[in-house]
Amino acid sequence: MAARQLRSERTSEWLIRSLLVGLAALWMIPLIWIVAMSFKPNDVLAMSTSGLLPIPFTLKNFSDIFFVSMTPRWLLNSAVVALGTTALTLVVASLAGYAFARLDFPFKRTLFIIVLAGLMVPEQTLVIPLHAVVTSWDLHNTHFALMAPRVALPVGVFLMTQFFKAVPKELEEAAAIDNASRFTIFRRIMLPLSIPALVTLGIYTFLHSWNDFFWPLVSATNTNMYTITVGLASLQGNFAQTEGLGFIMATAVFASLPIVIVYLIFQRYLVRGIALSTGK
Amino acid sequence: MASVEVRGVRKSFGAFPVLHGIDLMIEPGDFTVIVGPSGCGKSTLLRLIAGLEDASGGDIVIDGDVVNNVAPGGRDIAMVFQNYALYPHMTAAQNMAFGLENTRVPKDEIRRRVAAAAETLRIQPLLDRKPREMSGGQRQRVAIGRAIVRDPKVFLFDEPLSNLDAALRVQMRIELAKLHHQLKSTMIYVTHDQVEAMTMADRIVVMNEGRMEQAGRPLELYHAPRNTFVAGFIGSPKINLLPGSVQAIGSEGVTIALSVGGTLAAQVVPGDLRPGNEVIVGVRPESLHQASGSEGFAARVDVIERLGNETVVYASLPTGETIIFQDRGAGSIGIGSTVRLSADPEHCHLFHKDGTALSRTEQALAAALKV
Amino acid sequence: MTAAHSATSPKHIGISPRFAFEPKSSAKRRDGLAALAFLAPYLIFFVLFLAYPFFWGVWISFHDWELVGTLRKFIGLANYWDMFEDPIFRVSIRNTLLFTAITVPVMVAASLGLALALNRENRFHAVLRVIFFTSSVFSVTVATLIWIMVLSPDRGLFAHLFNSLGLQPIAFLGSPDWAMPALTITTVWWSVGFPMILFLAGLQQIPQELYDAARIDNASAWRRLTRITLPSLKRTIVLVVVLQIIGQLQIFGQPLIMTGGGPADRTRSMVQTIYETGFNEWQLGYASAMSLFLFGVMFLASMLQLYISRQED
Ligand SMILES: Nc1ncnc2c1ncn2[C@@H]1O[C@H](COP(=O)(O)OP(=O)(O)OP(=O)(O)O)[C@@H](O)[C@H]1O
Ligand SMILES: [Mg+2]
Repeated sequence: MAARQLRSERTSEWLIRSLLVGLAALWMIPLIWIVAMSFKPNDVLAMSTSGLLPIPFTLKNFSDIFFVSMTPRWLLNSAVVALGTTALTLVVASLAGYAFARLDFPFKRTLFIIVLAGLMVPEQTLVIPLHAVVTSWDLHNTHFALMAPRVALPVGVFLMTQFFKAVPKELEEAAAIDNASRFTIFRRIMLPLSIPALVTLGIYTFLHSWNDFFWPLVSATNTNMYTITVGLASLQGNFAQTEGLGFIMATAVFASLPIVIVYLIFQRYLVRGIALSTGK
Repeated sequence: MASVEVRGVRKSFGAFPVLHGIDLMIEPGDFTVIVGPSGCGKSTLLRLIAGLEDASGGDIVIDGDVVNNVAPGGRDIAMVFQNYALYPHMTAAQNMAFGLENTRVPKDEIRRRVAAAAETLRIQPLLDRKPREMSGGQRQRVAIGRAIVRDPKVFLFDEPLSNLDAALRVQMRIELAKLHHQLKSTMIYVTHDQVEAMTMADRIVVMNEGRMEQAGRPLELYHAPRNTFVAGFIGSPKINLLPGSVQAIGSEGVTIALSVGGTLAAQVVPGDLRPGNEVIVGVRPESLHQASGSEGFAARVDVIERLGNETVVYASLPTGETIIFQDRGAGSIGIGSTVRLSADPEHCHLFHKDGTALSRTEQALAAALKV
Repeated sequence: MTAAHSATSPKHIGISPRFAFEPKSSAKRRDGLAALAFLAPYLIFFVLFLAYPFFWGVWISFHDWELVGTLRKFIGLANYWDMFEDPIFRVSIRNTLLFTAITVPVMVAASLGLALALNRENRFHAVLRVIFFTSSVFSVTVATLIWIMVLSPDRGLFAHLFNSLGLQPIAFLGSPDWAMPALTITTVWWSVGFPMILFLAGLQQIPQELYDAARIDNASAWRRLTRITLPSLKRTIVLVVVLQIIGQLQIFGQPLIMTGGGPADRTRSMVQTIYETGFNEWQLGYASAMSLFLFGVMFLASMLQLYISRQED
């Protein structure tokens, strides 16, 4: 009886595993296909796009990216914006998170609720007035304008507040007895302790900033200021023309490379961070 | 070495009063232990002295200076926390150095002091380890080390041993006592464990529900508790408290008719006590002995704990209360049997109905101290 | 930034230990000053790039307000009335709700299923987790580019498959019936990773003893799932559903890039209409009013979560 139950559990286990492998293959096939195309000559692709292997093989699409396209410039813009947004968010959110978690000041609760209310405002619904406001400050087509709205989002502050609240109070009290100032406590005790939270917040900010679409689409109207995400969309406009297929795929692959690398390096923090942000 | 004085200190959390006016004088170099049941305000008092909490009234005086408005870092104190509160990302050495760095002590001096503290506490091999790579006892030593290197005027301890296992607790207790002997600094130590209090303290402060019940040397509290609370809190196993009424007042002491039947006598100064007054007799378990004839009172044996060096017997009185005594007759009694118990008058305490003690006579105290 | 710097310059740290934790009234004030220094950098961003634009958006939604030019006329609630008469906006509301109604259940089921299947600590499952999350790191442009290609009737993967089976390939994105489901498939492929990880985090919080106890009680795998796992995941399920509703109501990039809202406005979303009203027709006031309507709808969705989680406690 028990043995039969065990055996049937084992069979279903293998069934589930094979299903998962199949599903994962389906998941990956589009990616493999796109990568394969990016290594194929454009004239070959014009005739047939079938095949998951890059035969015949060429690197021309990738070298073209550097010589004939705006892609390097767009990648640079994306890198500046994503790294800038990440750095600013980390500084600003950890400082504010510490204040909300550990300092005592008038109207703290009210202020915190106001900031949290900002969580309710979806990014897409802010784009129109944000555009008007940034126009009035004459900031469009600058890197700063691409960074600032994301730095203003309260998610980071919320995450860091939660994190700092969970740090045992005694540590801070011990430090106070050890004659440490507020800023010393923050810099020498709290910040080192929050490295995991900072890494998580950092890569989330980086991923989201890199992939921002709507805001850069309307704010960076000058092709020189496009981020790679917007630039790639603009390329797709003329992608009915078959001759550029391999080139476009190469651009997409190349544009995704930084983000995939960041993801693969930090993926375990990503999972941990989600657990963190949903409490406990 | 510095004195610490607490003058009429009150503390409320919101509308909830936690300390109702504490007055306390701690002499320089004293090892003072604050004991009391959980929630009585011991930690709060210690944190007020440390400056981690603001008093609602009264003054904290350290070394003659009122420090109410001085931040913890400026009070020249060190504190050891119950859960150690070591900085998890720093090594033991860095943990100890942190406070010195904050006050700009030169690097060489820091290194020297850390090394000296490490030697005192025998933690040299741990200096490069982080807290998570240490055992509880090792962490505790590092936490104490962090306090020592500061060479503070006053050491504060908040139940520093309660996270350790029983054996380690005994060992650390001895080491702390040694350390005090060596450093001769003023130390204030909070615990709810009366054994720690009795073994380490120069002076014990007993607290209850935000009030100070009694302060004094350990044996003073043991032999001359001011009230039933102190009598019950100090001493293990606990003192037996038996209600009764005064039967006679003679030169040999006061004879009390117990409500469970039988009598006991206590050598106390009767004051304005009158026959018929309701009183409470206190007898420590080690003072009770088996009696013959109609002496003392009767009880039925429920549980016998044989600890080797002593045998503790729990028996129930006709009223259902439990009475505890030490059996010196080496296994002569069995569960279910009835025993008659009595105590010598010079070993009995007597309390008014409201719990305040009548003072014991000189002879009684002298006899008690001799035992 | 400058405030933080001056309040915490090294001079201050060494000399004045009272900066921290100073009791009595002055303590609160000092703490207040420190708090100001710590908060100011963020609050500047918050006020300038979130709060102010939000209220500015409310303000201009009561106006006939053009992107370029000088027309700024107060018209009260007229934009809001016009909105519901506007056939384009109405069709985009309908499409957005339909898309949300199709996508959310598929996404929740798929991510929950994957999480349940992948909630094991071994290399095999870890690798699969990485695979299913990987597509989430691509930008919307890359994800849509991939699926435009996959679904393309003459060069796509499906086309190759259909041809080899001797069938006529379908122009998914050009078909009024297939366009919306195609967007759903793209969206699920692209973003199933995030809810999956939320579910994995939720699963990890269920104490193993519950399962051990259930096994000892002879509970079948199915009963363990329905009596322990799903009830314990209730909060996470509510969270994921609401996050998904909020997210999918804001759908923008996929239809804009893949179908342009077509065919015949069948996949036109609310955000697309807001975008075109604002930046092609230059009517910022009207577009703001539409944004606020969308905000209202999403606000209701978040209230739903609050309401449900209140009910539970
Ligand atoms: N921050 C606070 N806010 C509100 N009430 C508090 C706070 N800290 C302590 N109390 C209350 O004050 C009382 C005394 O607490 P305290 O920590 O001093 O007790 P204690 O004697 O140290 O007890 P224990 O032996 O359990 O540590 C308790 O009733 C506690 O609930
Ligand atoms: Mg305590």
